[in-house]
Amino acid sequence: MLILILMLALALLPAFFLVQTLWPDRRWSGTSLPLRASLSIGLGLGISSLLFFLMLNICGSFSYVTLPLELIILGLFVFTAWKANARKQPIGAEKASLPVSATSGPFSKTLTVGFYIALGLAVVVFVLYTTKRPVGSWDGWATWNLKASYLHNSGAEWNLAFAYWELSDYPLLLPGIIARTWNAIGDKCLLLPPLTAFLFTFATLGLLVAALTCMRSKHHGYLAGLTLLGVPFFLENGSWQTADIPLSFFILATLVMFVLNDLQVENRGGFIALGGLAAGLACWTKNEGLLFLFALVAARFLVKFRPANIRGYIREVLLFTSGLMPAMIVVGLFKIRFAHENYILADQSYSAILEKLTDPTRYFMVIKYFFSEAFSLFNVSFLLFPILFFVFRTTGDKKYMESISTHLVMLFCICCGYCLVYVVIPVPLEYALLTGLKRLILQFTPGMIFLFFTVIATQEELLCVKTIKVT
Amino acid sequence: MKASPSLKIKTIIVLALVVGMQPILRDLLAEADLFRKTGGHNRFTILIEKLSGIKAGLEEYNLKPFSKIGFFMDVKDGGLYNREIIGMARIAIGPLIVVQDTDQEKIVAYFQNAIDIDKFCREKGLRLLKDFNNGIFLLENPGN
Repeated sequence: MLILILMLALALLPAFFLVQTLWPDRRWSGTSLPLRASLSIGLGLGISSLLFFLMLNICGSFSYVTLPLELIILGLFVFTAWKANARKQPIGAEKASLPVSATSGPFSKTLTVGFYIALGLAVVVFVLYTTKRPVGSWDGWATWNLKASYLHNSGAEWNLAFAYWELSDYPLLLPGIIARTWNAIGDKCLLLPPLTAFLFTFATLGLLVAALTCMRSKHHGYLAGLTLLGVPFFLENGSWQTADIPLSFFILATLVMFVLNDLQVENRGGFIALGGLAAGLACWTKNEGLLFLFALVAARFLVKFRPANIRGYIREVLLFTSGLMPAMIVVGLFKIRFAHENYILADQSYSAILEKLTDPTRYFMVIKYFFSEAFSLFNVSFLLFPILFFVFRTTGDKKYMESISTHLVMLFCICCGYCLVYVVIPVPLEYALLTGLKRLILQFTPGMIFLFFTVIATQEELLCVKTIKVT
Repeated sequence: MKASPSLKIKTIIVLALVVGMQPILRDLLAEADLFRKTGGHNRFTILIEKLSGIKAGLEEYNLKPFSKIGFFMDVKDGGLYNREIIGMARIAIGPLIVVQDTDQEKIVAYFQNAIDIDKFCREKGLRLLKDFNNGIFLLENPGN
């Protein structure tokens, strides 16, 4: 158990120091600590998976090279964080680049206590789900855990594994994390897959709450957290040990980094590089991550590109690419050397695809199921959105609105992409929609909740406006 | 009469707490009930633990990663249950490739009911290599 914890710490710590290196604030603690810690969990696990796959290619399934390399990287990131901190200017309260949240107000304690009770109960529910399904759902064990099992101590001929996998074009973030740690502890510890799922599920919740607490207000953070916990499928899917929640983590992390970057007074670019890393890890998690990356780049170009600001745009692209590249090199290596052709293209002819694309009934069915599955996913928590919007209205701050509009364009591009994939899918359409669409919507749910709570006014802004009107 | 901002906010907070807590409490009650009935024991965990034990035993037979190994089980429903059991076996003894037949050179047999293993081997033309004393046996197909 101790060695399992040590190995997970060795995965998470380098990411914490990397985040600290790129964070504009030099303080190690402070209000952004929970945000940096949540971010480090997903990024750390993701980076360890990238390293594992690279080392597989170089040395085979052999842990004695990976571990010293991870220690060297940890030392390197500690050094860069220390050096970078020495160069950063302290951010005083008057120069704070991000709004400081208020912590008092009506019902503040009730909300805080209520959130933490809900969080505690959510942990218990997750553990009970895991007890029922210790190896995860069907996809959890038949795809992700099985792949990890084949990569664990598979010797020099580890690449034979690809001959026996179904869906062999799926990237290997989750199997990589699990096989890396199993190799290091020398045993298939069955606690690891659910523990990884736990870390991703609660890091997603933590990232959502911490980001909104930092950027908007503590109340917004807790309200968003309760809204996410109110999505019944979130905890259940998290315990299934599939890649949907890890993907939702990386999508949320990318959005948080971009919005933080857009709000900065002094743009130092660290957020964009971290956003690039998170987007790259989304591509290493599931193929849907590639669609997300494409939609994000297209939306930023459509909304942000102005001939007058071409230098700023190119700088953003370069910073984003610098974060994105490590993961994309691994994704490229995997796709070129190992991945089989995707079944959507491999299992049907181009004329069959064209026939489906020109069939309007397929589009209607996808749109109909999109709404019904979204409603079924959110259940009663759907009600919260119009009510919150009616009470708080939108924030008047232009910076927020511009940043959010970019990401709304991105979400629209993604919806169009999913729609097209479903229209041409080579399995019975209704079956595909019923078994997969809810999970696809879930992948974007934390990100959508984050955008929603970013755009609506905070309690403090609302009370402030009312006070000004009265005076 | 218009509601004051603070009253609206209080209402929102109560609503959010109800919405956030409702599925958690519902699932907590359902899952706790199930846990009470099963005592936290799960057939998958038990099987994986049993099968993990044989991995060390397999090393002496020099089975290399990705070599095929047969799998036999006495309880057969021909559907979901068998596929799940095979899946657990694959996770437990991967990277050996578990195949559901008795044609392979080495075969893992999993019996949930009492069995006379010698009689079973005679009937199937197999040879017993190892009894793990937990319903799991390693068999050999001499004709292969």
